[in-house]
Amino acid sequence: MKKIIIALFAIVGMFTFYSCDKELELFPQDATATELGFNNIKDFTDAVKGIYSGFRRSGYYGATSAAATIYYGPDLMSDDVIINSNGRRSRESIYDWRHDEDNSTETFWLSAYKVIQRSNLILENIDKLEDGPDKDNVRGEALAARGIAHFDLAKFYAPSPAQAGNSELGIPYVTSTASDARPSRNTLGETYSMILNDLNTAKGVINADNGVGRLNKAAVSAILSRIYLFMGDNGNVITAANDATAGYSLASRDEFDDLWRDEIESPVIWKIKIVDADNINIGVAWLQESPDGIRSEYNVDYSLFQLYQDNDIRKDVYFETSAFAGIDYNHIVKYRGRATGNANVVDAKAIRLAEVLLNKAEAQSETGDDSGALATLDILRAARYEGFTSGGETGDALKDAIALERRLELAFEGNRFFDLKRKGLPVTRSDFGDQADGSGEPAEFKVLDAGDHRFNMAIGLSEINANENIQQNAGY
Amino acid sequence: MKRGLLFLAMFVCAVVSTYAQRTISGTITDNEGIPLIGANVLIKGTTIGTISDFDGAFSFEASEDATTLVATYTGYETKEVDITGISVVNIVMAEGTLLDEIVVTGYGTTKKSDLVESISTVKGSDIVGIPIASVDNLLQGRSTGVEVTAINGKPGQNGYIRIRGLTSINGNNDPLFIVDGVPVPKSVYAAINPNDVEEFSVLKDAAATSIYGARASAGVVLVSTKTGGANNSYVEYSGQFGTMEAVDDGFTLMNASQKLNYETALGIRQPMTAEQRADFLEYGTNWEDVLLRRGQLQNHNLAFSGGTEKSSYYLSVSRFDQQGISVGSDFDRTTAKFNGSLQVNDWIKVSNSLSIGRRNDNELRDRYNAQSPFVGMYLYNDYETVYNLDDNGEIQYDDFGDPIYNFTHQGFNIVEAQRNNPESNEWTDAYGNLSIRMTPIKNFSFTSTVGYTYNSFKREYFIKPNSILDGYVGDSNAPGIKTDGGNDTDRYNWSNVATYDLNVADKHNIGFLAGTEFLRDQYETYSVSGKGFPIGLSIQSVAAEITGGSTTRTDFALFSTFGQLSYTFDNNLSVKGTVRRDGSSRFGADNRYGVFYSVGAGYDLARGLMPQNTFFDQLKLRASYGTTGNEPTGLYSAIGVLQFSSYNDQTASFQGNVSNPGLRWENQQSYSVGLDFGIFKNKLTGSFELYNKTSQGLLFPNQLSRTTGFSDTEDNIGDLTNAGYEAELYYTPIRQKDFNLEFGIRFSHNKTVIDKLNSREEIAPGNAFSSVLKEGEIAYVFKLVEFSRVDPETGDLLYFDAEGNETANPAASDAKILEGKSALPKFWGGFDINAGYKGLQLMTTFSYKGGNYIYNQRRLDLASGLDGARSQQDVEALDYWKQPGDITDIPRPDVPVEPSSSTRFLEKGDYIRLRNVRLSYSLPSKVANAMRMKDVSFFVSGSNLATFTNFKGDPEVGVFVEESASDVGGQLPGEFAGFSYPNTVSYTGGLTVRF
Repeated sequence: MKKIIIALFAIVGMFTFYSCDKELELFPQDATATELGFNNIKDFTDAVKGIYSGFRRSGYYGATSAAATIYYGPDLMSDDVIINSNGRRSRESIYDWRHDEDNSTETFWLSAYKVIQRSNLILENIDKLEDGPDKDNVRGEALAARGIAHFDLAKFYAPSPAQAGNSELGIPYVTSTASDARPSRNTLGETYSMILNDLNTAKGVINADNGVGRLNKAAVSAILSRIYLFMGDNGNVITAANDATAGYSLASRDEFDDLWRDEIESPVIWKIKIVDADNINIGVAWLQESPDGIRSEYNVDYSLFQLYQDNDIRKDVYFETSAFAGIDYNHIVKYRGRATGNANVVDAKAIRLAEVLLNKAEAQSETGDDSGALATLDILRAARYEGFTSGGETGDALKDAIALERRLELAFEGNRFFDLKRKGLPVTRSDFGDQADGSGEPAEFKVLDAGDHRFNMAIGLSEINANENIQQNAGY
Repeated sequence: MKRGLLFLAMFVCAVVSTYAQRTISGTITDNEGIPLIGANVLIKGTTIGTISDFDGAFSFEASEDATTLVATYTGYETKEVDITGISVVNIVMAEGTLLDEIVVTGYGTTKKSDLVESISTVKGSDIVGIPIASVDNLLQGRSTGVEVTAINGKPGQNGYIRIRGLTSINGNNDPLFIVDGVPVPKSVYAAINPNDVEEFSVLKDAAATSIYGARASAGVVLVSTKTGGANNSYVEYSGQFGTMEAVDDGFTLMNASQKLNYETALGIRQPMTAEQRADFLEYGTNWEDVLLRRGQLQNHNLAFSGGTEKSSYYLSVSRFDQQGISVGSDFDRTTAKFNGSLQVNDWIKVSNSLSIGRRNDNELRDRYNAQSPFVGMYLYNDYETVYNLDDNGEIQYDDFGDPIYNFTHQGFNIVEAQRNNPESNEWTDAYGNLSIRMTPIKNFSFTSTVGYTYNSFKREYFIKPNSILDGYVGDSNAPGIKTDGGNDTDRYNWSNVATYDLNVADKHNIGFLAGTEFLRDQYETYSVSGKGFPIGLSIQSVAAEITGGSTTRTDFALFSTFGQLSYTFDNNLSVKGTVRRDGSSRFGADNRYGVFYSVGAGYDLARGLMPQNTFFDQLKLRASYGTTGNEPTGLYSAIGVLQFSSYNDQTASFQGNVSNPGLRWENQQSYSVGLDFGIFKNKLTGSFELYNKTSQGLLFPNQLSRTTGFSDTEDNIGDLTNAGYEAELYYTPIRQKDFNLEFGIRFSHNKTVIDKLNSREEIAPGNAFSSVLKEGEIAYVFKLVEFSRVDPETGDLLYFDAEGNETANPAASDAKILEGKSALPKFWGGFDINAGYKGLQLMTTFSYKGGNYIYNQRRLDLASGLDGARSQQDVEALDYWKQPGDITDIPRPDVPVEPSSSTRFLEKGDYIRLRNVRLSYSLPSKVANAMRMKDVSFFVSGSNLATFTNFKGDPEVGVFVEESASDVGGQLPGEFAGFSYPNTVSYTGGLTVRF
């Protein structure tokens, strides 16, 4: 009998498990439910940093992968660089303007919309915070980030408002976190109106100081000066630029190298912080250092190189002429790394005081204020040239001087291509080769005509496939 | 759970009962009075019994009330004898069908003649001695419906097992692997010592697999290991030595002089004078010789098997040691195993199975650049030297006395990397079970089994200070980079199974089975990296700076209840029904449970309708229908989570995924119809089987508009169907004592078609390169631009655009679906010829596969005009277009290398391969006995000895390169031929001695 009782126990025991539902409720150990993440100012501040980590993603400011990034992808499409024939020939299709919907900038597109989604998630939850300066500041950072990401998308995928009408295609302006959305593109006019609205609102509520690596009032103003310049709205460029300079100063000639090694902060109004542990070495896009010398992916175009005068501190800091595999090249060493730490790891300088001054000088000269423009330009030139005396330029000569200085100062920071785009100019590459003296293999493709459809990037196939409402740019 | 554990404790404590016993003894012989050795005798409805000894004699203790004795012996008809009041029985068994073996099925066993399921078995003895470490790869070509492709040729590497086609897109396509009742993860396959395997049962249709429910849609492989016994007692040593080399790659690289001419002709090198040329060509390297070597292996195995009437044991230790064919590629494995059982009393039996092991290998980078030796051997030019040489050709040395490596045109030297960037892996494995079986009342049993798997993996990767790679990626102020990482898998499962057998009127056998199973898996990872390592030390504690570290932990659980009802009538009709309900932690609360079921039936026409016929020994019709399921690969897809990372060394949070609380099980419905036959006294046997399997609600990331900030969410995206048939035929024209001859052939055909996609017409899946999923097309159909020819006038590559006109500049939109062409094979199989004369045995196994297409990326890379001209090229590239009128396949060199998207290098993958030849010799037992041994045998064996194919290169393609697959199991095997670790040709020899 005993064994039958035991057997009965066994069977009963076995089926007691039938309702074992609790054992099946498992949650990730490195995450929490989204709705539980927004309770207090600490949670919101963490989420704001999540936005910045979005700016640091591949394709945006922090890429070493093959995808073109907003930070240096535009430079590869400009006339400032030449591919190194002994390099790894990475990102060559962008350099050759052979980009299309297949072979494009999809990672940037996704990363920018991740920044936007993270901003929107904060904004949708913002009323969980009590009204006050903390809430305002969080809201300001989120709005500013949302505006900036949309602007970076718009300048890459849509025409410059300085060259195109308001009814042209802009980009989808996204203000909600709905995951089933399949938006169509807003018009260019709507896009820029919403960008400006977000940034101007942000400017009114954001803190004057949020520490290094975060947006503040000056940074929002600085970005606004960039946007207005891209739109051709010179009056607003000057206003925005004036609001952007407080608390910042240009690097002197002695400090100029320190700026690129992240040893001084005051010349940079907003930067994306990158630490060794992030494993993002943005300089790898330009070069790797081997025991056999620097191996560049892209070198400075020799015609641009010649524009740097010998008394220009930038010539020493931006370039190094040295041999790889026995051949001399002019390497671009702006991002080769800090004094200590991993090679090619530096912060991404999203906007510097120098650019704000150049934006302002250009706007001043375009609005006829030559003396103001010259004064603004000379602040920068005095900090770059040894024994500088003003050229005293006016009129077109001044405009040329500002444009030259802009090209020299902001080279390899993702600017040149967009300057050509907003001015409606072609990209015209020199006949020089890749080597230090201009010999070697020249560029295979030399001219991108003004107005060529490839000034607007192709929207990636992944978006086209997933969103039937999106309209591709003309020409692709 | 706690309550359950208490119960288990109770069972164990309660094992105190004793019962009145008696001894049953006797002999078992055949019709001619010859003793049958090793026949099974059992009290009916229990596991009490034994095996007959060398004289056919048996003896064991049974309870007083035992009434029927069942004797079984392979090839003989099962015999039941009434033993009421009898203690000595002499049993005479009649020769019956050869098929009456016992087959291991889900949670039980079945006589082969009663099978309604589609199950292939592979004997452990058939695969012993093949020099492959991972057991999954040993199943290749052995059974119908089972396609196995090695991931690559690396020692210890896993394979891709596909049972009756590709059942899923993203979810698991690998079968559930269960070793002695313990479901083990893939990482453990290579830990299994093939010598310990008694038999593999490959469960193919729903009737067989639905009892494993949600994890079974890709099929199930049951691995049974050896057990000892009173009459299965021996001590056995077996040893093996062998060598191996890469299979022929089918390419002929340019020699130094040809390459120099080629470069000069293409204008990337200035013409040289004869003197310069002689200087340039004076020293060089055959990179394949430098990077590859003759591999070696040895394998030793020692096993002890035995037992008493009430107990059994099997104990083994083994060591497998392989030096791979690439310098620095080594693999070794040490295992120990113990299987034991004890009949505690007449109603309780306890048993356990325990395996422990350790594996090490030195890993090489297997990636698509100069850091991989398998790319390097095709990149470096023959005129380039390994070291920098002085004018006399002597190696130059640096200040530390180390040779100075040549940077080569790649800016990297793979020989240096093999020495200075070592990577090593170590696995520790333990898996096994404890089981208690109770038979308190007649015909009833209850078995409770706790299984456990522990798998620990450690990896160390050291970029030595001042190595070339350190120069590229390191910190010159803190030279040297070290990464330590690893993971632990900790898994237990507890199953409880009750069975009851009922026999009515001697002809009706009814079996009931009910059970529960709980499984919990926890997976943890860690990694630490540091930089700045002095004097060759590489432990993280000496690092100048710890630069990174992280740990992760994930877990999943599965709870299941299942039941089975089987019925057999008069040994010729069998019916079986199964139902299983699974609950999985991977789903949201609403869809957590899935119910799966099957019914199957078999009827032996030869026995049932034509009992008097002498032609058919068996003519059995089987049919089954049923459902199985598949879980998502993601563990938390149903819930939305906020993830954490850091920004500027401070906490940063963001939404990590788009939740899909409505995610459902992938559900497979399948039917299978089979016919088994045996004629000429079973000299000719075979089976034919048709099947159709539809997988509904395929789990796959559904694409989202990127404007949402996400690229996809796990979803049920569509349906696919696998349809096919399998045939196998075995012919034994001669089966004599001293001479035997056997032929076998296995053929499988399968076609996988995408029936339906829910939200879009076509999907370019992330786990394939150039293949797409499209409604109505075969799965992973190639989508490429159609190549036309090389233009004889211009030397351009000409393609067909979407309208069918020739163009030199195709657009992505010109790519077409290539109907019927996919990397998935349409047919595969194997055939063998075995012959024996006295102690001599020759076993020959071929395997074949076909109907698939492979994109030959290697061929493209090795004849890629100017783009590839600085690296090594195939002699084929010399044949490039030079002037108008040239008819050639190789374009003008400055034509940009095509994006990997045309049919130019799409090739048929059909092949036949002589997989294994094995010649063995057993000493005559007289001689062996004289040496006081039971058996002594020797063998020599060769693997992959010959290949017949039109494919340029090795047609057995697994991955393109190992590191390009984020998850090796997720990449579409065989789509792109690339540069992974080559497969090998091996020659081994060995001996087995049994005492």
